[in-house]
Amino acid sequence: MMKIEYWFRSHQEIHTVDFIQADIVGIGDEGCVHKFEDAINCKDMAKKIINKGKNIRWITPKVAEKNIARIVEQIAWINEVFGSILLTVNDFGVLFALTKHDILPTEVTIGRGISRAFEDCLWWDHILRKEDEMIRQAILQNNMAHKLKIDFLKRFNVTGIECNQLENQASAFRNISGAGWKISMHYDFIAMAFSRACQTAKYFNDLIPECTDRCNKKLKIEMDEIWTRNGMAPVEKSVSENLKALKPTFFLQGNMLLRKSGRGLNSEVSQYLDTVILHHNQFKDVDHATRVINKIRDGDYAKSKN
Amino acid sequence: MPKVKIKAPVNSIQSAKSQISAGADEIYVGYTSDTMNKLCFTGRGKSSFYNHKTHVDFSDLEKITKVAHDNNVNVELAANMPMIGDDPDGGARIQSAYLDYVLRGKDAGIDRVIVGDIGNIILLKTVDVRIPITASVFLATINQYQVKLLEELGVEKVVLPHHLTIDEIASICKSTTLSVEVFAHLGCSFLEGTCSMYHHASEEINFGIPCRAKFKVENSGESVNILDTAEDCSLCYLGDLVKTGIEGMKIVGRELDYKFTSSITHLYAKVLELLENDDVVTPEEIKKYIFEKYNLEWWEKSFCSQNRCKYKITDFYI
Repeated sequence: MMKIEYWFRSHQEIHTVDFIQADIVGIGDEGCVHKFEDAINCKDMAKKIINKGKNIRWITPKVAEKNIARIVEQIAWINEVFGSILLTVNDFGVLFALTKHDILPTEVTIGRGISRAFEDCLWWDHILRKEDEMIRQAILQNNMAHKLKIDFLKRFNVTGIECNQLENQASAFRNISGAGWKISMHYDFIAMAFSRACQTAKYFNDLIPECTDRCNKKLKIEMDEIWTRNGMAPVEKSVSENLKALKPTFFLQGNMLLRKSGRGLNSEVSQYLDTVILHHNQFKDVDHATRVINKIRDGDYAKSKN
Repeated sequence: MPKVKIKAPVNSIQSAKSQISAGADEIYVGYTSDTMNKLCFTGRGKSSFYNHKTHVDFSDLEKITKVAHDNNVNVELAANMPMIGDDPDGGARIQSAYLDYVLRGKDAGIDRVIVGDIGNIILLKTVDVRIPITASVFLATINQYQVKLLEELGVEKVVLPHHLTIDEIASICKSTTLSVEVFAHLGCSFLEGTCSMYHHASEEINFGIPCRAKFKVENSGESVNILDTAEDCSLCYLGDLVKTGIEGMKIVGRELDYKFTSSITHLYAKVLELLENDDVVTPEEIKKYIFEKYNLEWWEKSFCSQNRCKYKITDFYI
């Protein structure tokens, strides 16, 4: 049966997990080291969750040079306190560091900061429409559908990937799961880009790292004017009707850019999934989250649209 | 301290000559293959929205390589398309085509290949292509441990993304025997390799550079360049940058008019020369020199007045 993972951005809200029928609770962050470090402060809550029979996944972001030593220490500490942990890694450097420090968990999942697909792009169809079908399908695939990568990453205890909710990944997932890896799909919100310079902090002129509560909710943004350069001076122009038709509406969450899938789960793709990952901040309330979870568990994918 | 090399973008024989004349120590170039119709293995489309060719024909690649080598300039082949894996049916046709692309480039005399996918680094090493590999910015290498991983994979040079501080670059350089290259001019808002707002991908809709667009923010209703954290110019901080231990600096712009990018190459080459001779040292001296010597009103308008300086403001770096 499909497993449910439920992730929290606001670690102050983790107590609501008592009301959520999830198999695994996710804490930490795909995008920001400071959000990850917030989760470290929740170790007592994490222990309570484990005592109630749920498992915890620790999610780590890409980590820049100035933070890497500290983050590796913190992961070592988590290992020590919790024993065997579930870990999501979004940085090859973190993976390598854990190996060198001999603190690699037995089950590591590659997160969306590494596991990417051309289909993550809102306008993928426009760019690929003039390619031959085999090329289109090959380029669209999740980049982890690659035996060389899979064999290489197995030595780092990688046992699966996370991915976005996309429509054209059936063959990629068939190949990835055929290689023995688990696939966990993030529900509805597609991670499109990650930045080291946080756009949310910049917009609100926040002081990092005191800003970690600011990005608990997403900021909805809609493309209004394009910025283009043809020659020396850049110009701003209005968004064309063709571009408007693609609905360039995105969501900024800290240093991550997302867009909505807006569809229910696709059964052709879902047959390969081990887990669906839901995020607490994508639901109005616990009842809303519970309704969606029940539909997913019942296999009512088409109606599981958020 | 070894001289820092400038690596410049090339999209024609003329642009190669122009960049070399402007002071480029290395050039990078992609060539057109028939595997794809609009995209190619170089991490860009075959043309930009404005129909600037981003690649050369294979026959021109051979000529460019000869011109470069006659002037002691190295040539790097852009083979850094970030997402190439197995075929949907599990086969290896697209990987074979990629390998063929690299091998033909080697036959044309290129000195190094830029690779943007870790699987392709492994592929080239597995089949023993025997050409030095540059790990592209698409690998998003932002810490020394990823650099060490790339060392173990047999890479010889790594290109670091934007949004690293001078201290971080120095720390990374100190930690490795790999050549380290950074971006000199023009930049992205997001980490390359993680960004799926593709542009200069032979698109027929003008997306512009999406991360620099204006967006209406739902909360406030205002229209701002909310995603734009790109930094464009590092001229004033070249003095600090060269002390980090970097071996190369890259100018972006295979999709741009080469006269524009050559002018950028020339400026950077000039400042590096002045630094080597201790003719200038501080950011203020650098800025004073270049603005007195060159007509840079457009530079001041495009970069300085808008604070698009690299290595200056890092308040919002996570």
